[in-house]
Amino acid sequence: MGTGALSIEALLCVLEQANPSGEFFRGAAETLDRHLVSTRPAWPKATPRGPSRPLTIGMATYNDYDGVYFSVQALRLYHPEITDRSEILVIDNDPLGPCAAALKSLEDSVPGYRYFPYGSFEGTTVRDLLFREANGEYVLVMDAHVLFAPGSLGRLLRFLETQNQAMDLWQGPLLSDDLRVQATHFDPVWSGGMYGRWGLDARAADVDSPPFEIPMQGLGVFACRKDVWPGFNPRLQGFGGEEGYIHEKVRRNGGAALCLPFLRWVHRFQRPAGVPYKPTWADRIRNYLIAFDELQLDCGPVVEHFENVVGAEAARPMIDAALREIAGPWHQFDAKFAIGADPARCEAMIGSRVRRIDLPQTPTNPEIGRILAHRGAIQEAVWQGLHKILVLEGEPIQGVVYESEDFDRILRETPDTPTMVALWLRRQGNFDVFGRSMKPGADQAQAAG
Amino acid sequence: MRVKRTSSSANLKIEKLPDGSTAIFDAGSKTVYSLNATAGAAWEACQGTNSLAGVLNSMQASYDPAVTEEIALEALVQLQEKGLLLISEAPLQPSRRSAVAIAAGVLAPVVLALTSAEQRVFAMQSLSTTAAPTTPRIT
Repeated sequence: MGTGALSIEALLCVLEQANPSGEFFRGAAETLDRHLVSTRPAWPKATPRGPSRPLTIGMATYNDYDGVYFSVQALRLYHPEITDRSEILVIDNDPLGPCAAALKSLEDSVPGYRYFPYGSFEGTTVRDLLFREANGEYVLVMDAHVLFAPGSLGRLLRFLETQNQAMDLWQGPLLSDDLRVQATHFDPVWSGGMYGRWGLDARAADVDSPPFEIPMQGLGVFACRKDVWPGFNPRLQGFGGEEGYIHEKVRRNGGAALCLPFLRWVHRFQRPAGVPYKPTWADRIRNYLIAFDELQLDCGPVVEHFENVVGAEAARPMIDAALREIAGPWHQFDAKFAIGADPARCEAMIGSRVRRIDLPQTPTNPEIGRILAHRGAIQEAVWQGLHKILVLEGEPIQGVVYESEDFDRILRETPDTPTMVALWLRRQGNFDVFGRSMKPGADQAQAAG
Repeated sequence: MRVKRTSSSANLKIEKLPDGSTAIFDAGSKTVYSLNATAGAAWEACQGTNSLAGVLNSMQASYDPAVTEEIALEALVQLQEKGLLLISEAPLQPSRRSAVAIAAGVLAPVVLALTSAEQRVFAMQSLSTTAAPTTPRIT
């Protein structure tokens, strides 16, 4: 007499007969999802999108709750005139870190606040994702430790409303800690391991001066129309290398980099307790070389500067590795994803940085987790406008290539929850038909040869 | 003997399947039940009546005239064991129930359940690792 538990297999048989749009199916599938996946999502969930507002104020953070907290509350306390016309979007670049829950909880008390976890890779270019995720026509990106002069954001919003065809990048004067205008732009020279050195244009002294063109600036504060944001190269990772590069992309796109004298801001430079991330010379050198290569600029000054700053002996291996990567067969991929495989091993194997996608553990059928992870990589590619991606997985490590012309079809034809994938597999679904297999070692040798 | 459903009908999402079985999802407990045709007929009967005789009559009329009182009772007991029903009097003894199962053959009732117990365990673990706040929050 059957008085036992309903097995997963038996429930799948039940669901095969049930109406997929019925209430029983929906509820039972949710319960089964929890049984199929033995690992629980470790990240806090993203805040659902609210209604569209003219301005998205976005910031990316890596374990800087205090910075985010005071920046967000300063926006509310000192710029109430924009509250109803803006959303605050925070990308948490360490969603497994100690600040994640606290950053998430701000959604309960700050109207218009949106928490968004992102952990596929770390770096300053995750700010690109603010534009992908923004709900506003205009996006103001700020470091998560910046304060704006009173009235500046209300004025910015009024200015932006006259710019609905603009292709420009807007920035503002940096105030020093004594609140005087300290700098307006970067002069395009190499200095101290960075491209760009702070400079001051006297036109910014008057807050009512008209906007004026600047060559470049640090990216503590910048704004752009969402639709014309030119985007960071998706291969960039780690910290540094975007200044000057993004300004040049804006210009090549038909826009200008402009300083708005009224958009005044202060920036917390001092970090006496240290920073929770580790900027490396290797990342910075790699980022500059990839950015210069993309713009087809002479990489000679990059090499020369870092040989001087770091020392030729230390810099040369980092420079050579980056140049090999750029010339190598894997650079064609906008992003390489490690799924289940050790990211460090993948990076060593292909000589390039990889992103990480979580592989859900589905003990009753590991293929369910694998399909969900591959879909996750493809969804990320669609979201970020990538064209060609490589997924690395397994032992020994294997590669699967997906291209943009197939992305929509794959996502349309394959299910996105554990239960639906399990049912799809029972109907002879085969995810391997969507990608092209690649053996990194063999194919790399072939391409190189 | 009196029988009564335990969950409010609003919480239960019920679907009769092509193979004659009945599938139930309890939105309150997040539990999924699968009832074979005999158990499903007993469950159906409990909607309109609350006595064993009433359930038996209903099962014989709507499902199979060969259903006996023992089979009907066994179905009700299984539904009770899975938490779907409350029975006001003591159920059959185990040895007697085995005999019913053998005699019932294809009419033997079957009630299976998949609970969300693992989910609850996970939630408890998460709560137990939360640190005490350093400064009380005003709530």
